[in-house]
This record gives sequence, structure tokens and C-alpha cells, in this order.
Amino acid sequence: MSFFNEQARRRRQARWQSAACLIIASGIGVVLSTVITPLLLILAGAGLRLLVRFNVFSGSALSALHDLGKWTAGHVATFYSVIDSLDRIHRFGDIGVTLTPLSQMSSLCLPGLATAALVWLVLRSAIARIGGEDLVLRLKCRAPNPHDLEERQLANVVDEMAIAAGLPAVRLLMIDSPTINAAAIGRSHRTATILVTRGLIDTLDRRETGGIVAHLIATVVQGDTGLSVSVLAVFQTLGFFLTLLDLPLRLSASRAIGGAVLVALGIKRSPEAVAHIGEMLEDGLNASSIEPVNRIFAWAEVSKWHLAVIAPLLPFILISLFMKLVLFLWTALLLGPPLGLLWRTRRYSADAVAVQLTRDPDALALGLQKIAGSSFPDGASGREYFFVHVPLSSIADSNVTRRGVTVSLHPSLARRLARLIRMGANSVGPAQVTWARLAELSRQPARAALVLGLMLLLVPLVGALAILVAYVTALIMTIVLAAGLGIARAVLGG
Amino acid sequence: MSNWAIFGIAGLVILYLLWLYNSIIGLRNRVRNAWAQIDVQLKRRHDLIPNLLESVKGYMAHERGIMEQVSLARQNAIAAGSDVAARVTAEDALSRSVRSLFAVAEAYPQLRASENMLSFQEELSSTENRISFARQHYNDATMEYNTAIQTVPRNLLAGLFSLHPEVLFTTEEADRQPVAVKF
Repeated sequence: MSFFNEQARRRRQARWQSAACLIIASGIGVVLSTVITPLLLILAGAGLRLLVRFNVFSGSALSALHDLGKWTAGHVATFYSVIDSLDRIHRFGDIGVTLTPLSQMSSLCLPGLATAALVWLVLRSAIARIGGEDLVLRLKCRAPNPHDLEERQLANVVDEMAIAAGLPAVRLLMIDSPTINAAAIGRSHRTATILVTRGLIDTLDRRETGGIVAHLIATVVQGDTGLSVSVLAVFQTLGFFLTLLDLPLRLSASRAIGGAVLVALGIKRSPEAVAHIGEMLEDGLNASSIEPVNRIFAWAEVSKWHLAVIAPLLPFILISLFMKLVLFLWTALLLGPPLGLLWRTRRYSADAVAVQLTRDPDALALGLQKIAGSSFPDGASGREYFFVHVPLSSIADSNVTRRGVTVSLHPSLARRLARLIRMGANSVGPAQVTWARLAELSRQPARAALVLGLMLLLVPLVGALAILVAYVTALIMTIVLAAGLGIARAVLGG
Repeated sequence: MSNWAIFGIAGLVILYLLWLYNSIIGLRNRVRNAWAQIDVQLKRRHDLIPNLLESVKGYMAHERGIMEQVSLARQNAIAAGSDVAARVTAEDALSRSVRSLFAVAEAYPQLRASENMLSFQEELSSTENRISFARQHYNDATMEYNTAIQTVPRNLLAGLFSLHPEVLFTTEEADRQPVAVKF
């Protein structure tokens, strides 16, 4: 049976891609180390100096200060030896000359890695705790009306699909919206909720509804609701650090960070508050978060006095802008594509499971086509990936552009239909011929050759881009780290 | 030193065997749970049928025969008890008689339009769906279990603990025939 193969293949792919995502996400921690390590050193140095000044444990504080200073000076020396060693590389075999001192510096990256991991864990647990309940509140969801035949039918369909998947009963809520869409939320398969718009049951018949509900149940069975929490936490972690860099530049940043701290301490618990703080963090990813810097510069141009007030902020603004540039490049070019690939893979896999549950690929294919012609219920923007399908009409305003991710998190209708046809869908309506032709075309050698040619062209381009990103990253990290370590050495009394 | 290595390897092998055995038992319990799920859905249908008959009685006074047939089929199904083969036959007969009742009801326009009837039709067709989905889930779970205990390495353990493959549900020949409606 082909859908078992399809599922197995998807699961294998998803595992590899999620591993890749994790590595890239932790890479962000390494980038951030360039700021965090010197900052921690400076804080520790300043604290120890205070102790010495006020004569509290001054003996041990002095010796600690001395050790720390020696440690920092040692790393600064290693740092210069890395830079010097670059001149001594003449053949590939000489690369060890640089790698050996570089590996000695790897301990400097640990604070950043640990901080990124900690922030991710805290945010993830906060998002998991509210489990999408904020969406329920925002969309004003309600329980289905048992006296309404259509809604009772939907409740029956949901129960049937849960039985087919061997799940305990799944909670169903209605969204009073004329749009045609449906979503699955929750942190695990035990607390899953399915949200369906009234427009969907008004438009789709029982069979099509069954296909769509089967996809949602498959999403729950695969644990995608839990995975989406992790994906969202990655975005919010990035947003957290970008907001942190904005701290002296805009007021909303301090509100977001303060809120995040309150959430982490468990003081703010209500779903709305947690979701709102999450959104404020995500706003840090928005390109428009650079706006305050422009305003500050505009204000500085007014007079020399204004400039004098701004001057002490300048190094911070520069470092912040540099780091922002690096993090933007990371999200757009390195984090986004594997994340999009991962999520799309899970959607195809859920489609395959849906076919296994209904044994009816046409039901899902017909339902998806109707959804593709509609849009989202109001208030669901930013949470598109919970839904069955992202219609083309609503992509412009979605997280695709909002988060600075260059790829779509959702697969296109044509690709999904092509896969459903491969799984045996044969009555996809008048459009079916077109999609089938598209699928056929992709198997034609001429087209394959064209695609291959384009790929060959693309590989060096992407390679060059990756090298460029790595180069810019290394450059900025070097500058920031050198400056930070220099300041730290000065504070520690070198 | 080599003693430790032997102990270590033996420990790992034992852990692996334990894990294998537990995975088989997990799969078998899923099969049993799926089987119990079918029972739950059959029971649900038994509970629904008297209400259905009550609500159509007024409209279908001339069709006493078919209604008695449904009622009898239900009693047989309940009476079949725990004998699996007899039960499957009785439940299949009940399915067929309910389907013919709905087919006959198609001939009564007032009944077809009645809100009550629509609602019952939905409930019963949902129940039929639930039963077939529960059977489908049972078959999927059983297939996975059977494949597991018939392939290396679990077949060795299955032989040791005499675990046998479970039986798959198959559709009765009579079930595949379209419903014949006599007027």
C-alpha cells in the first residue's frame, strides 16, 4: 500500500530535517556568544571589583579577579594567534595551524549556546502551557450546537476519524466565520482541539469534511501540534534576542523583555497575556523594528547637543545593528528553508495519514480545492501553520513575510493534489486534468533536464551566498568579540 | 577487563530483548484495545435502534415486516454474546436489515423530509461508519502486530512465548452485494 511507504518516507525525512533545524538554531547561540561572553565577563569583573572596593572577601575576590584576567588575556592572545595563523596557511594541510587555537576558544561559545537553549526551553514551555488556547479566545470559538444537524454531523465525523486513528475523543470547537478552513491545536494528542469554521460545514459535504478532518486528526496523531510549539519557540527565541539588542533603542522592547521575564517566572499565566508577549517578541523579527534607530539618528541631526546626548549610545547601536544583520541573514537564508521544508514535509505526511484513515484520497483532494478558494478567519494571522491549508489569497499578510522567513511554511495546492493523485485520487473534478498534467510534466525528461540545469546554476549561487553569509558572520563576530574582550580586559585590570 | 566487556555486552543484549518483548506486548495490547473499540460501537448501535424504530413507526405502518426484521436482528446480535463467529454473522445481518429499512424509507416522502428522520439517518450512518472505522483500525493494528511477530528478530521471541498472529476482519460476501429492496 503506497500510503504506508509515503508516511515512512516522510517521517524519515522529517527526522533529518528537524536535526538540521536544531543544529542551525543552536548556531544562533554561537553567534550570540560574541556578545554574551564578554558581557558576562564584564559583569563578573565589575562585581568582583565592587567586592574589592567595599572590602568584602577582598582576598578571594582579588585572586578570582586575577585568575579571570589571566584567563581573558589568554583568550585574547589565542585570538590574535588565530588571526596570525591565517597568514601561515599555504596548503590545505596547514589548516590545523588555525583550527587548534580556534578549538581552544570554543569554550567562549558555551554561554551563548546555553542561554539560547534556556530561552528556547522557557518559551517553549510557556507556549506549550497555553497550548493554543489564545487562538480559541481570539477566534471566539464555541462548542458545537447538538441541535444543529450540520454541526452534529461534523461532531460525528470528528469522532469517526478519531476512532479510525485509535485516538481518545478529540475536542471540537466551532469558529463562527464564513471562511472555509480548519485547524488543529494543542500540545499533545491528549489535549488536542480541532477548530472548524462554520463556512466549512456550510460548503463542504460529509465526504469532503471527512477528508479535511482526517488531515487534522493525522496532524494530531503525528504529534505535529507539539512540533509546531517547538517551531514557534525557535522564532520567539530569535525574536527575544533581537528585542534584547533593541533594549536601549525602543520602549516596546523593554515591555516585551519584561513580559517575557514575568512569563518565565510564572507571574503572568493567562493565555492572552502569554500569547501577547509572544507576539511582541516576534515583532522583534519584523524588519520595521529597525525604525526606532532611524528616529534616533533623525533626532541626532537636529543639533550638536542632540548628537552629544546620543554619542554614548553609538557603539551599542552599531553592535546592535551588526548583530541584527547577522541574525536576519541566519533566519532568512539558513534557518528558514530547512524549517519550511520540515513543516511542508509534515503536511504531506499528514495528507498521507489522512488517506490511510479515510481510504479515500478524493475526499481530501476535493476539500482542499474548496479551501484553496477561501481564506482565513479573522484574527488567525500569525498562526497560519495550525490550519489545513494556507490559501494563496492570504499568504501576502502571513507569517511568511512577517517573520522574515523567505520560504512558505505551507505546501502549495498543486503539489498536495499531485501527491494525492499519486496515492490514488481520481475524481478531483475539472481541475484534476490540469493537476495531473502538471504531475506528468514533472516526470518528463525534458522538464527534468531543465530543472537539473537550473539546479546546477543554483548550486554555485547558493554556495557563494552561504560563503558570503559565513564570511560576514565571522567578520562581525570577530569585531564584536575583539571589542568585548578588550573591554573585559580593561575592566578586569589587565 | 574482558570480563567486564562480556558482562556489558550481555547486559545490553538482555536490555534489547526486554525492549523487543515490550514492543510486541505494546502492539498486542493495541490490537486488543482496537477490538474492544469495535464492541463499544456495536453496543452504541444496539442502543440507537429502538429509538429509530419508534420514530418511523407512525409513517411506516405498512412496513411492519421490515421493522420486525430489524428488531429481530438486533435481538439476535445482542443474544450472540461472546461467540465471535456467531456475533460477526448476527451484526452483519443487523447492518443489512438497517440498510434495507433506510432503503424502504426512501419511498416515503414525508419521512424522508422529517427532521427527526434526517437526524436518525445521520446518527445511524455515523454509527455504521464508526463500526467500519473501528474495524479498519483493528485491521491496521493487527497487521502491524502480525508483521512484527512474523519477521526477524521478533519472530524468535514470539515463538518462545507462543504469541500467535491475530485474525483480520474480512467482509462477508453477502455484505458486498447491493441491498435488495422489495415492495
